[in-house]
Amino acid sequence: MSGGFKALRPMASESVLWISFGLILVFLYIPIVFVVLYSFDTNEIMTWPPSGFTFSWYEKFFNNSQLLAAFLNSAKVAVASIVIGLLIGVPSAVAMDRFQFPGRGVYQKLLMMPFVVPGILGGITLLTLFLLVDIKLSLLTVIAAHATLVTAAVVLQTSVGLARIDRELESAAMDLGANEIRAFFNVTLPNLKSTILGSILLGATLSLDEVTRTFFVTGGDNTAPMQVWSLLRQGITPEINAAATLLFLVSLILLGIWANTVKEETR
Amino acid sequence: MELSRPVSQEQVHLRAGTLPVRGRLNAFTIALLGFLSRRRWLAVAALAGPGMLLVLALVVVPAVVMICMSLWDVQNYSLVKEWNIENYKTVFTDKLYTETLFRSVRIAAVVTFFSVLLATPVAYVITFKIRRRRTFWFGAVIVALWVGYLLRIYAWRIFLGQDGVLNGILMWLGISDEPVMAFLFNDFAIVLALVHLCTPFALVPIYAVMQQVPDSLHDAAFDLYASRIRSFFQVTLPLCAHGIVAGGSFAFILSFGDYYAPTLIGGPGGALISNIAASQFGTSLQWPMGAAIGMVMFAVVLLVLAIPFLLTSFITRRRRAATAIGPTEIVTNRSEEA
Repeated sequence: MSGGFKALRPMASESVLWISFGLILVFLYIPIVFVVLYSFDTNEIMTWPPSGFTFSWYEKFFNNSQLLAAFLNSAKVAVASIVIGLLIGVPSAVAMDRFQFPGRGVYQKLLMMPFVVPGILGGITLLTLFLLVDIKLSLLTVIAAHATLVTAAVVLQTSVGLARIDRELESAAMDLGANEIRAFFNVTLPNLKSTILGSILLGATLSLDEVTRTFFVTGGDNTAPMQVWSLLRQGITPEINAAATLLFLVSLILLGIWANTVKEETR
Repeated sequence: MELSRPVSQEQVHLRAGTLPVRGRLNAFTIALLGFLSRRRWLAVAALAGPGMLLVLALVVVPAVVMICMSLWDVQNYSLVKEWNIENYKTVFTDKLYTETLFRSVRIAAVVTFFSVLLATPVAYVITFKIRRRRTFWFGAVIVALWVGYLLRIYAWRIFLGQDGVLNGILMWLGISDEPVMAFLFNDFAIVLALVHLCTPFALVPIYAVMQQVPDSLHDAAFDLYASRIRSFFQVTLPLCAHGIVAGGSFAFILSFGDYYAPTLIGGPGGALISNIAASQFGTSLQWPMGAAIGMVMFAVVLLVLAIPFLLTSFITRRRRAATAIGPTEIVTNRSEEA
């Protein structure tokens, strides 16, 4: 870094780097900015410049019983698939972490399948099964689709979490007379707190925003994104912007909670 | 306790994957019997059993059903279980399907390239330049995901449309007098929206891997008078290769399987292979055809995911060969000199 011309080149590459970083962030935020902006705009046709400030789209959203019902359905599906995901994913991750068993590798790969295969194929495979055995499409079939996805997320997160935990702690507990099960519940599980919270939040975001699988297996009761989809096909309405802004706000709050718990644990 | 257990030669081979098939089966039975005799299967069955049932019922069986269905037929609006490969013949010979398939792969490849191209500098800046509050900035990029899949595609329609924001701004600034139609309803719009959709997903593994690259390696590179750019290409990039491959795979999987972007902002002939697959299950009631397209898509994804794997194994084999030859070459050179 000795002055003169030589210092210019690293500075040039440095500024190029920072400028591209800024531009990429702008690119990523364009949709959010405009969705939020036009959720408050009086003009029904979203165009530049914005014409005035209003809350009427939010009022419309809260009076739209179909959209609200869809949001409730989404919440039900998310809760159900997260419960299934945790009950199945956490023990599976523990089994794969603690035991060498025949077929372990295959089982792990099958669990991770929903991440490796495009969502559309998850939807098509499930739909062909439901069509063949004549299962009526409903929220239950949607939950089945989401559960595979959420379980994969839980297994992934828990495996990473378990790998981080110091196994000596468990041995210490067992030296003090705890059996394997007690050591797990009293030592390992409390250490997995932020991991489990993280997988709940990841599961929630995956489930609440799932559209590629849901499209195939949804019945009469729509989830929120599928209701948005049917609205989008009818034509654009700023109500959707209001709904999206609210959903974004909720996600931000969830993210904040998660970030805070993680911070507390690392302290 | 676990470590001190004697390990048979066959188990060593089994782990390294070097046993011939017959030996592998043998070792598998030995492992299975040992496993069962130690009663550990009870714990595993209790822990992983429900998950195995779930995977069987919702991943394995549906996949088998899709394979079967792709080999069946529909007559008079009902499924006929007559085995045939007509659906595959159509997919591979009908121009509609082949051309759309190639276009879909091309678009997904372009999207993958740009997603990785955008995600890599972001990961680099957050990891090596910002240092403080890394998690905040990483979160800032990931939060871009949270407006929702559909909304992130549809927002481009607001932005790029005829009455859209971009046209409004261009006319407002006096750059153009009339709205430009060219922004929306073409492959460019699809690529743009999909790159936007995939970049955060590509970022996650690239960022995770870059966190593992120690700063001391850069210092070493600088000490050896490497420029920043050179140290990036010769130190950081090779160490992050597997993260970049993972990020690229995410981007490809996501963009190849998307059918919302073409519907919302694609042109009139903008349908991609996933749209065609989805439409078979809609009004046209051509489930077997849809299943066959699904199978072909699956094969394409597997093929694309295998490329980096084959490439790296090829490179490491060549390297190994090079190091094996290396020293002898030096020796022969010396003898010639002498």
